[in-house]
Amino acid sequence: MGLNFVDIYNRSGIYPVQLPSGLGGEAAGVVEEVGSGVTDIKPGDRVAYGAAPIGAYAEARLIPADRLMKIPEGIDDKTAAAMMLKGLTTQYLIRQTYRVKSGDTILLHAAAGGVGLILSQWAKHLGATVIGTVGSDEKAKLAR
Amino acid sequence: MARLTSPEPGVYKRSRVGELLRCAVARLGIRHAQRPVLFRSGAGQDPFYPVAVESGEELQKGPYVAETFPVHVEDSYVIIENVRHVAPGFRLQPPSIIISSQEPSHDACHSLSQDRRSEVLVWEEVQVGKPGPGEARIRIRPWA
Repeated sequence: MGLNFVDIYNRSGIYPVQLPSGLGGEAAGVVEEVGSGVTDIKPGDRVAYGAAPIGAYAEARLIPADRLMKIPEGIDDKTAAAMMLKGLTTQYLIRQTYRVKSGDTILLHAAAGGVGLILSQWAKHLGATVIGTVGSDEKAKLAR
Repeated sequence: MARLTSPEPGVYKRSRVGELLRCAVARLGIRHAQRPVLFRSGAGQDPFYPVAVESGEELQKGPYVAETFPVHVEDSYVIIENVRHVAPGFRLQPPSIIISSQEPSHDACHSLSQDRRSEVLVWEEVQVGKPGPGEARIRIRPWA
């Protein structure tokens, strides 16, 4: 499963969850069984999710099947689990909220964070110039 | 100083909202802001609430038996041992042990909010149920 800063908010109560509850919002795994009406995935499929009901801190869980994405070959479980939430956040920011295009210049705060690292690389790939802010030299090195 | 009156078991009224009640002996108390919270006084704080030890005859007798739980106060957590049995086939979320998380309080002490406690699972006793309509059961593979 992937760990995210928002997990801390859920745990401390800043972002309240209805108790009792698990924790964690993203993970990758293998489908063991599907319920009726599920046709897009089947047992044995490698899947990942990043916007499901809280409860990813688990060896196994039940989850709405429409929240699952099949993991392409070449991407291991660890990578898939760690990038879903950050990747989906990045996707809506630079492909939906504003469609970043070549020649754009972006100011990116927390460039060394989970979203920041993905967004900076993605935006650069799209041809944008990324100006990042970080809180330390170590983070600056990571962001570059 | 706040006063707490209780016309009957389980019902209480406080004289002033936001006041603080403390137990000088155990340095535990109940803070009444918006909700009751259990807290541990910060280091170096002198308890200010007078406490007297009364003989049993001085206490009001009644037909009531309080529900009690053993409580341990440690550096970062108050652990309330309230182990519940988990029924086989439970579809996740059965509370087992209640652990209260700790966070800084604006009263320069650490507070433990009852509504922010986390109810965790004894995983060995939990069985993830069969997926319902539209659901899938997934399992995380151990990472090498």
